[in-house]
Amino acid sequence: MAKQLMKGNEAIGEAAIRAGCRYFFGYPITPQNEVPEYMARRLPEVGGVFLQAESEVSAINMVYGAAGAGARVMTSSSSPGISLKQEGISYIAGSELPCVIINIIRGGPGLGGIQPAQSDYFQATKGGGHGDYRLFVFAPASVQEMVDLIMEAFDIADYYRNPVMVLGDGTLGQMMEPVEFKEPKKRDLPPKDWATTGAKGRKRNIINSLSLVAEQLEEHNWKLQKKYQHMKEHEQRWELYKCDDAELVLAAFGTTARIVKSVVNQLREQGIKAGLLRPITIFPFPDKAFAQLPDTVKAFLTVEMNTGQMVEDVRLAVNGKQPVHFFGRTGGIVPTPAEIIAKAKEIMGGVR
Amino acid sequence: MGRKIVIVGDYGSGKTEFSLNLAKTLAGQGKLVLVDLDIVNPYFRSREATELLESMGVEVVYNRDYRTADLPALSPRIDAVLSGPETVILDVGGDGGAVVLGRYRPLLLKQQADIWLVVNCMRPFTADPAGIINAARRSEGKARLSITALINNTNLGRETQADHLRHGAEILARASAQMGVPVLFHCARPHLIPHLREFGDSLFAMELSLFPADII
Repeated sequence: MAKQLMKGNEAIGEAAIRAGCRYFFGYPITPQNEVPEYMARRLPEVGGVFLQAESEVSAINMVYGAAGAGARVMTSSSSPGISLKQEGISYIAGSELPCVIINIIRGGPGLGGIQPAQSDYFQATKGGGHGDYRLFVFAPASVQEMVDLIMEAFDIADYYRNPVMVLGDGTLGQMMEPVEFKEPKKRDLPPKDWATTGAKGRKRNIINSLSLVAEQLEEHNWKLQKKYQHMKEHEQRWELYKCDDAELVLAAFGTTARIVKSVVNQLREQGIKAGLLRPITIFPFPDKAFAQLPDTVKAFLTVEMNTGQMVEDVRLAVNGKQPVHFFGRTGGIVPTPAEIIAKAKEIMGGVR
Repeated sequence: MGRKIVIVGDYGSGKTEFSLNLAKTLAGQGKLVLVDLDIVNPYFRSREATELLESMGVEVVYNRDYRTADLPALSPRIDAVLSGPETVILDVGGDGGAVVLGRYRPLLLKQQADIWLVVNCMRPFTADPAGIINAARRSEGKARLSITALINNTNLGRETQADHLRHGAEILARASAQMGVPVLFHCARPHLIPHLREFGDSLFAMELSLFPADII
């Protein structure tokens, strides 16, 4: 299959279909409307079901039902809609069901705006809904990477029986880039013998997140934690760019990381040895990446389209060994290279 | 009376970049107005190039109070310029965005407006003549206006090569024959122009204004 020029949001839809997703339940919200539009157009062509629910709450509960029946299922929304889905997401995580959830972030809090933001990092990586659970979270930086990760996300969801979230921002959802669809590396997936497929000739399967016996619920929680621990040990992903001799490491994810990449190039032209550490998984957060950095690193600068969220994970990973600075724009403003460079120079001037 | 040129197409066909380049080409040849008629999608709209266009003497019409919003509000200025002597380019929103054209149908018919469909054959739904005709019929159905010409804007973003445009030209030639409307322009990034001389006067140089240059 040759390359096509695709908008981030439609590439999300096509990637899901190529990964075997045949069910999509959602509700429109800017800036991800092309995802349901694309699914409405394409899913019937492949024998799938697109359903626009009456709200985000019903959409996520349809996902819950379809996932429980063993289907490959996805939903998509943007920040306020993802907030509405949190109860259902917690139920899905509690019931250990696989599904893929897309969040194309817009500025918040509340209804906020419709321009790009990264202010749902906490919500995505620290649970989001109630209870001690985690989503597996990818943070792609290009349309191609988003396609690759979504195609893999369905396998990961099945492998861990856990919801996987793919986090983008309005820019990534709306931008047009060349893409191709490549088969992801296959994982050995266990049969879905837990699914509610009609209990003919076997014991009935029950999908439920209610557990009234405290000892049993505690045991269930430890089981979930073991899963998250396994993700932390085996699934961390990141990209290091020009970090080999870096004195200043900039940490950024998603679209911001691409702006920071050009910042790194410009800083190096101006004699400052800068590098980029780009988390690709943000849960599990790639703390192993920090162990690979050279001794030359004097300081970190985290750049985000929020008021400082991933910077907390960077601080935990750096563990006080070097100072960790922050630069952010929020509310739908995309940081410019010039202002990031100014902040970097302020930091490096201070270190020297 | 100035021409009224309506630019339609699926989203991602390159309508907005084409509209901006057309405005730059026509700037300075009498009063020119660019109407940003995209009230569907709040990203990558021609209004983002307002300052650039105004510096060239082009008037840009859109809802000034909420530049980044997706409010379905239309400026009364649109009726004025469509009735007036100005040359007007209407940059219409993708897909369903053409619905808004229905609102201006009587004026556009009266002014014998040109309706140009921008096509990128590297896009999923317009990769062959059938897809292009389908896109044309959908736009026409929503706008209740007939397409008068096709624009070949076949490209693969940063990975575009001269052969992509040639590939698009072949497909559009077939669509054009079936639809009975001409292909007016073949759009190419400036660095590809020297490799595409065979297109002669129909070659149209396209500078990109909206893709964020800071994102590498």
